[in-house]
Amino acid sequence: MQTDTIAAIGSGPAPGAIGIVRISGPASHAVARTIFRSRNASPFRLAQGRIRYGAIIDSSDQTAIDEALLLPFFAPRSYTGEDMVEFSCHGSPYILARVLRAALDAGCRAAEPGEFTYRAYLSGRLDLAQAEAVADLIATRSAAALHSAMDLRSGLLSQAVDGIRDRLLSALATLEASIEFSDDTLADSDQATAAIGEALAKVRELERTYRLGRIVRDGYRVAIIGRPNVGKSSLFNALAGRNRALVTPIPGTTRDVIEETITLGGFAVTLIDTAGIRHARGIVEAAGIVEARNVAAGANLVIVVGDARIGLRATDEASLTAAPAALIVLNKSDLVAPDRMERHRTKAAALYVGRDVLCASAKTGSGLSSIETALVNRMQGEQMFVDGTIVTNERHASELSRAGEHLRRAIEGLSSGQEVVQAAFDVREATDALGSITGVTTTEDIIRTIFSRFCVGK
Amino acid sequence: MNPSHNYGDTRLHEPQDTMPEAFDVIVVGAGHAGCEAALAAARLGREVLVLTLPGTRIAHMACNCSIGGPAKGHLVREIDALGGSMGRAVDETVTHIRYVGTSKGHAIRTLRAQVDKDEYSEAMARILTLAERLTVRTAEAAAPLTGADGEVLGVRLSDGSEIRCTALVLTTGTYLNGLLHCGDEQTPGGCFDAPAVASLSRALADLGLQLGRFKTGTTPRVDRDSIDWSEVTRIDSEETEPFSYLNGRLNRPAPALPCWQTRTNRATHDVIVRNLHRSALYGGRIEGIGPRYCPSIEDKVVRFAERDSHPIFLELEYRDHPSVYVQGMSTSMPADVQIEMLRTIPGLRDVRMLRPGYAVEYDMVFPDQLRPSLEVRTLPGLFLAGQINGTSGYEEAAAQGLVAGINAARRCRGLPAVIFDRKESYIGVLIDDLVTRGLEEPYRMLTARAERRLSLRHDNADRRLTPLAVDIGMAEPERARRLERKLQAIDRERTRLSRIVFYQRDLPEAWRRTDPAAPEGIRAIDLLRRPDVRYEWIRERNPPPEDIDSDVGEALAIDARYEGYVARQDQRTARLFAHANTPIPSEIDYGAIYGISRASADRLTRLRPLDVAQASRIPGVTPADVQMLMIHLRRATAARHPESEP
Repeated sequence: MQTDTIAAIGSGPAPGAIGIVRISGPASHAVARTIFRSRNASPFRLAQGRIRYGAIIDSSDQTAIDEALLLPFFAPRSYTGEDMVEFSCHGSPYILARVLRAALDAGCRAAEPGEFTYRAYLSGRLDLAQAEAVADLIATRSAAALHSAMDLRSGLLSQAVDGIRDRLLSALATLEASIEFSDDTLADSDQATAAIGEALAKVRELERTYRLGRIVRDGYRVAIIGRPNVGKSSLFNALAGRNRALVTPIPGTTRDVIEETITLGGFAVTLIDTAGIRHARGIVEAAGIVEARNVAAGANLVIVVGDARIGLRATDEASLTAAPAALIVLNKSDLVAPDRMERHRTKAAALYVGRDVLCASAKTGSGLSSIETALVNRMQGEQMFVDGTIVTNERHASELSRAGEHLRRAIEGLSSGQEVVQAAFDVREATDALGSITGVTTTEDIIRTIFSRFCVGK
Repeated sequence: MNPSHNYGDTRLHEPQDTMPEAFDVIVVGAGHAGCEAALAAARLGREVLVLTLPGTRIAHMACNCSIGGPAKGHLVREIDALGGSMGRAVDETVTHIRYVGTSKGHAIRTLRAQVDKDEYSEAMARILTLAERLTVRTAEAAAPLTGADGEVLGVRLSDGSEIRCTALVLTTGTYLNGLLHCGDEQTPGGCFDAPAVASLSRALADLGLQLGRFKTGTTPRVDRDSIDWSEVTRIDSEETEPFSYLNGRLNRPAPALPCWQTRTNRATHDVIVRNLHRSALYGGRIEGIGPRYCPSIEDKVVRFAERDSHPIFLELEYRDHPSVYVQGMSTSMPADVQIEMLRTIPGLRDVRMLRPGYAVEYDMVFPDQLRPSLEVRTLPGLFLAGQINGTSGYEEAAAQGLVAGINAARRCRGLPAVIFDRKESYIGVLIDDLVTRGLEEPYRMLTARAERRLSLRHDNADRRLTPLAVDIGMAEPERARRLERKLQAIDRERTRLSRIVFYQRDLPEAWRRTDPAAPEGIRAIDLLRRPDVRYEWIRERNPPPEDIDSDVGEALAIDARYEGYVARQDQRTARLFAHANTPIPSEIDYGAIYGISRASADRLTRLRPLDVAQASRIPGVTPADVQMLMIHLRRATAARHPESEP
């Protein structure tokens, strides 16, 4: 029946001291063995309800993502009635997202809303009264119910997705008509290719809103980078200290990354303190750029910190190349004469036109409020690009990305002389992916559309 | 109509007058469904009687003279792979044949043939004559005879006499209450020059079956010698492989006859619009529902008013008779309007019309009353196949006939029905759609209906279905031998091709791998994945030790090229059919399932799906209903095996 293994963050979206990632399904114990390393990396045995201490491992470089507790369950003695594991780790959304990613990379599927409860229900673990509530949840898979059952944003999303899907069904009907009735030269596959291209653009547009969707859900991610000893950590602590939301300092195990969630102007902001972007003598600047780029890629905004006494250096330039939207802060303003500092500031502003270049002192607190104002402005700026439809759900984002990939393939196939029947399959997969966001299926829809749009037959 | 022979009459058998007559299987109707049903049942060892109406012909092609095309050609190949006869009859009588769908992909590519209609009837009659245990008689069936539980006991004829049987297969085509429309003239009849049957319709309704009324149309026939050839485009026949696997894979010389293409124009459309009130369809005289995919020319002009032109194909119906079928001109206009319409078309300005087109309305039985074996759910032993189930097309009819014949024979021997899986054949898709989804209009097979379209191909119907035919006794020894040889040859050649390596430098520029990390050599089997590499290219440079049939290389090339897509398609199919292995017990009470909607419970009660996947394909049954059903089944299982509970 249900044979795949699902994973999800089991604790809520707000940061808390402890977060839980749950995995259920036949492969859950195997997944645990893949992504969990016990203390001293010693071999371990899984036993019902027996807690183990260790770390979650990032498979790409075998480094630890976070310390964690592993709690295994054996079917049918679990919430879902299947084999399960639960990982308890630190509650930062960033950490939890990475643990979930590790589980997905190890072969799990992202769980759909309510799927754990649904599985519990399927295995007869819930009674009839509980079942009734779940039935409503399952019923919301239909597009119409989604509109009423979920908030306005989801309603707008399913409208947008349905719009794209309709466009694709129409393109698919064109392709199918040309396949079934090749004598009638009315089905224009160029027209279909163009329509698929437009749909792809719309899908990509929606997919991009997930950047903002994540901000809404998890907070705006601000990474602080710069050379060693420019006062990054002091600045991090100063900004965090003034705006502390929930104190959850998480010592990075090997990564030298510290995160803290604060509130600024009504927005949740996650500050990330990075280890100094080091620049050992003799190593080319490219290495610095790569590292800055990695940090920038995981953040919504980068703050490049320099020393107010010496201004920007070659490494900082490298960082700025990697993070074009970065905010520049010259720290330690208390240790330098105002005119000297102003010279550094104007030089930086002249070199990096259009960027905010701010001076501050983490030590005295001067200039911090101007940094905060700049951050709030940036966040408001992001908001303005959104016309109302945003993707906040990871599963939706991943279905959109799947749909985009299939459409890209279809267009490539159609323009490179690949078989139409293969391109039609790609488009079907894309409509499946979109349909799984709103809860509809494909086959009959296509046939109906063929006949309503084309004059086909003998 | 055509002057030649009438086989229905020549095969009259006198009943023995002493014993009450009995057969294992009686087939009513000798059209495309009836012939396959009777031949299948006879091959499986049953004594079979075929009843054909007076004045009708065996395997008559009442509409066009074409067999095949996308999805339909696939059906013919599947029928053949299962030991059916349609493909062989086509091969014997073909007058024009081409590959179609080649540019759309290997999964679509198939044959479309035109045959001589008289020769086709004769060929099928000959096959019936040669079949053992098979009797043909001219008589009109009036009603099934049934026992207390609805089980079939035999059939009553219109003269009041009765014949006993264990299984009865009805393949009545358009004859049930058939009504022909030509403009404002209406004539009872099953098709041109043939009578209609009323009593059988009534009898089926009396047995509690729900009947509907469908409509189909045909085109005018014109005289070949009145066509101006300078104004039409000639399309020549091609050299192709035969339809039937029994006739080998070698290309045969192109048959003699061409066909021609022309187009309607504004003037044609003006004539139609001006006379719309005289059309039977638009004059409101037809109540039956017509197919969307085979619209009349009136329909096309009204529904697609923005189009100036529709394609018309001119097809010769006979080798030695000048009758030309005007494909694309299906109509129910009066004869004088039809002539006026025709004469606006290039090539037809001075055309002589031999016979006007007409529409036919007929009774059908809603097929969601059938099991996937094509047996009526409430009347054990009664099987329905062909147009009576609401389908259109010779190929769709023949496919159902074959399945009904096989299962009628198996019923006689107490064997379980053979159910065709929609994942494995177009026949499976066809029957599952009919019995699960129900119909609102005549059903035509389309490749788009098959979830596993990339795997259900013209070239591999034998690999898919002949093993089943061998298992159930449908395959001739020669057919089984041919498949065995082909599978071995494919295997050997695949092994050989995975050992042959071509150096990059020996390949044409376009096929070379450009990335610097690419290995120096490419295996021949991998080269085949490229859409622009043909098996023949490899064969020329590196011929196999013994000569192999052309379809072996073709099979390898298609398998290689489709590998990635087939894998993705099968993942998708697995998602769609996730619950196929959860059977539903036949005694289930849908009304007692918690949380299922009333409407869904009613539908499920009526259709009695065999498994949860089939239930989920029923229109109107929601995913939530399916989940409730699953819970119910799980709980029922748990209740029966309490020790498995924690």
